[in-house]
Amino acid sequence: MESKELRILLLEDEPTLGQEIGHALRKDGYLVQHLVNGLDAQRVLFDDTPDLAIFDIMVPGIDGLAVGKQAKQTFGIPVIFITARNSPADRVRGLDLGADDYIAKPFLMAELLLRVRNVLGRNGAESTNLDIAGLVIDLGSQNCNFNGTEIDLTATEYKLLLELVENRGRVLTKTHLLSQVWGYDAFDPNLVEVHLSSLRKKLNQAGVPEIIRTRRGLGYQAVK
Amino acid sequence: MRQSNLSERIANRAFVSTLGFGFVLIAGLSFSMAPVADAFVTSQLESAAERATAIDGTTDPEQIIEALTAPGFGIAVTPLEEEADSSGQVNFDGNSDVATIEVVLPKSGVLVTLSQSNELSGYLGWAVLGVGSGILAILALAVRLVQIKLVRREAEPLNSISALAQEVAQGTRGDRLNLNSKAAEDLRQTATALNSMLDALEASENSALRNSKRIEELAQDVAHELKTPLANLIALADNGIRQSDSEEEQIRLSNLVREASRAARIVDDLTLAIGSPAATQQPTKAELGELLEELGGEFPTAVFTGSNRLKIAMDAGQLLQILRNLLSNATRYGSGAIRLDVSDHGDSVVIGVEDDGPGVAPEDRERIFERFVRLDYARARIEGGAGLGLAISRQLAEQAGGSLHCVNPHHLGGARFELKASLSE
Repeated sequence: MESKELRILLLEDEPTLGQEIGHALRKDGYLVQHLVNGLDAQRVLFDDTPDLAIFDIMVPGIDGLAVGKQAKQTFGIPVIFITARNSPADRVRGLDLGADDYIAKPFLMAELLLRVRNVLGRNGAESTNLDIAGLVIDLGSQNCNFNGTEIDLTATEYKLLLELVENRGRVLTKTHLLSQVWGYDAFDPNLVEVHLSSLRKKLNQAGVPEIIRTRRGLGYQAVK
Repeated sequence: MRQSNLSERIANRAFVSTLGFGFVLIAGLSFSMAPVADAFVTSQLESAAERATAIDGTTDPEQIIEALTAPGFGIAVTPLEEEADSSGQVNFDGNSDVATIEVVLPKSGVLVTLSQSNELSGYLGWAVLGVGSGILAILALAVRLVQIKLVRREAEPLNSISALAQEVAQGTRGDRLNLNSKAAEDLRQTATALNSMLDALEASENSALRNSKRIEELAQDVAHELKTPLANLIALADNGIRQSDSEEEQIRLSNLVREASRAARIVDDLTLAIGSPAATQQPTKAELGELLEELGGEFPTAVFTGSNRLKIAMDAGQLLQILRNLLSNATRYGSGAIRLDVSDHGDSVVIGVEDDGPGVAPEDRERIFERFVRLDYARARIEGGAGLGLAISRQLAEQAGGSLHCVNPHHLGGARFELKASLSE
């Protein structure tokens, strides 16, 4: 994606999860520094201030909550906490420290990326809009407009459009779209067809040129 | 039966026995009054007879009568008919209540008959009985009053014993009875026995609590340890799908994510089931508005209607858990639209959660609250099923004095669940 070049400090002591989160973030265009120890994370905060911190709470060294508090209160960095414990007490503790968001393991990458974009947008760091054939998708406010006219999309239609546009040029299967937009509990591939057709109708009515193509037998593709 | 306390009962018994015993005494006393009265009458008549003998020689009966006249005396003077002899004895005539004595005055030639009423002896008996009974009743009442005070003072430790028992029943621990040395020996023994019973009970209660806490901590640790590899699996497969261009591979990886998510949900349910009972001991007030705000972030498609400025008498964490369970079911089984409506019924609140999915058939609406029940829907095969979530949610609702039911849909035509709970002031 376009030159975001936003830096994210990731503190996650589970190698596999850290690696996968890093991978998904880098693929979305972020610069990621991945650390496994709270003390290292604290050092990095002083050396080189990132744009966003994603901290697992239970890590060696200093626990993620303490470093997160420091990141938030001393350096004003937005913080998203990750934890395996999903008890309300933990959530409240995290949010009390001024955490910008909180995500419980296990989670889907699409959800983490959505939250990362929201938090960065709220904090004014992410100003990027996606532009495709004159259709502007504002990632911060999650609005969509064409030639200055706002197109009223449902939450599902917005997510569907975003998934296609972020992967523009690539053919996305119904299974891909179903899993990334609806999550893994959804089974019915017709959901994709139904919502896609209503999305297309709205884009058409607003005068947007045909940007989503159907590749028969394969899936859907947003034009390059 | 009328309620009475120990001191009243003991005093009442003392009252009745004082009364009974006293009455027997007084009755005896009143019977012994008759001979006393008879002796009095006898001595009166005998002294009159002596006076009559002293005036022997007087011939005028009028003069004799005058000399002997005294209040209450009957005097009869009759001429001696023949050689008469008098016994000089007082005769009590049992039938006429009159005592008589005859005196022969030979020189005067008359027989003097003196008589006096003997009724007094009867009156005296009744008088003793009446006055005595009155005094006895007053005395017995006084004894009763004093007795109540005395027994109450002696029984004072019983109040501390029952106060402690009530405190223990209400959850206070660690307090013991400490009776002073003036207390009755048997009460002090009772207190000591009660104290050792409390020691033993509290010790076993503490060890049970420690055990259940250990199990709870173990469950939380195991859950954490299990969720870490599950989260890793999901992240790996999820990224795999995002990068793969083969639908066959994507389907396989989707199934992997689904199975791992299902395991993660069971782990969540399990920790909820093991970790929840302790939290119900101290129900805190749940601010509905705050909870709905938090849930709004997690379930962006849910529409909230109705009042949210309510305080609900339920632990906030548990209420959140119930609503999150209902909303995530609605997300999984519906096709997007979710409605959460709140209706205020004065002292209680009904929170409805409804989706636009296939719904639950009326005959299944109770069954889904059983543990690990799975229903087959025509539209979609629901993997993972209701699991433990609904069973635990209902249990939590009932622990807080509320209820959770699956009912007819009102708005969206899918499944509708209604949570009823009390409002707190």
